[in-house]
Amino acid sequence: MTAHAKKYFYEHGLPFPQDLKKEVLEPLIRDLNREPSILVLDGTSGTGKTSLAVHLADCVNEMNGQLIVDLTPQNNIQLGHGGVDLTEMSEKASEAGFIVFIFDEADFEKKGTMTKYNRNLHKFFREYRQLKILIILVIQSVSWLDNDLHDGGLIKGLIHLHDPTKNYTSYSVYDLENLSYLLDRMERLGRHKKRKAYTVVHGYKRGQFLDLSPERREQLRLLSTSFKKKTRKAIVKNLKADKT
Amino acid sequence: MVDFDSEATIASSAYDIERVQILKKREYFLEAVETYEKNIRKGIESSSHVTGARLMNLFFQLYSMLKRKLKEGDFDALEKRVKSEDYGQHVEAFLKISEFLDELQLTKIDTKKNLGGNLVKRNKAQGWG
Repeated sequence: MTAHAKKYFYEHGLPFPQDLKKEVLEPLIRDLNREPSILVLDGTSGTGKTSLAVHLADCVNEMNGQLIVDLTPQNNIQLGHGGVDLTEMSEKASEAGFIVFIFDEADFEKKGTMTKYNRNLHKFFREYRQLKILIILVIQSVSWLDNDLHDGGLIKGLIHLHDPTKNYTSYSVYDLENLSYLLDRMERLGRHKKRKAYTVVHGYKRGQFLDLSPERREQLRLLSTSFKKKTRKAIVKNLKADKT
Repeated sequence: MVDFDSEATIASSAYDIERVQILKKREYFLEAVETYEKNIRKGIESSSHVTGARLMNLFFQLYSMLKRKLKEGDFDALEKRVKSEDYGQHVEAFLKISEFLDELQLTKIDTKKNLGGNLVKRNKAQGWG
């Protein structure tokens, strides 16, 4: 038996199937002329949500004639997390000419964080409808988002990640019709069985994507660590402010 | 075999794998029919051993399901046709199995509106703006 080197790209040059680019990313980018779009990525811890978000953002950057996302902590302006102001960061990215921004909540699970996250999103929706940017929301479960956010019409679809293996992770794309059934099923299954809804309501398109290259993965790890430090500092600052 | 390393493989549960395998075996049978018909039309003498073997393969894949769903007499008649060495009997058996696959929604693809894969167009077509 021969050992195969780990693949980071398929033969067509992308780390995910071409139809994800042609039938999901390209239509969303074309639609940006009307209003900002939000694509939600969800999945349990370790499924590679941020990796896929980076893959997708890299692809959008390339489609827009730009370099891939700069993940170094000092230069990063395309990947934000729950602790930052989405409006401020996405505006910064937009001013720099980028049309895609990742808003990552994957590593922040503390109680109350989602309320802040939703508040952040509401603020963005209110003030920045005219911003021509695709926001990739990375989140553990789409059910964490307020119902009002779904009603706002900016969320265009969901990519649910599942079954990670050593070489690839599977995904399922939900359009708004599938998503509405999914959310409905989650509500009916109740708080503790919500995850079962994904096995009952399927997306309309499925596929697999490959891992980030080791260098990019390391950059992402460093960036994530710097986010966590910033969040800890913010928590300490808030605690001090509460005491005084 | 299902190639789990291929980008095109989307099966993830036993249910999906079974469906893919059934469709694959159906395709193998149809290919054998094509070869047989081609030879006959060319005037080449052909035997039904390939159609028979492939039909048997498909039949065994569906065995439990067919036994559960068909009436006993119908099942026995089908089994007899599958085991026959006559090409005509194989075709008859396949047509019966085809009806069954249609009922299983495995080959019934004409009743659903094809919305395509474009996310934005799908959303619009389904009334989501």
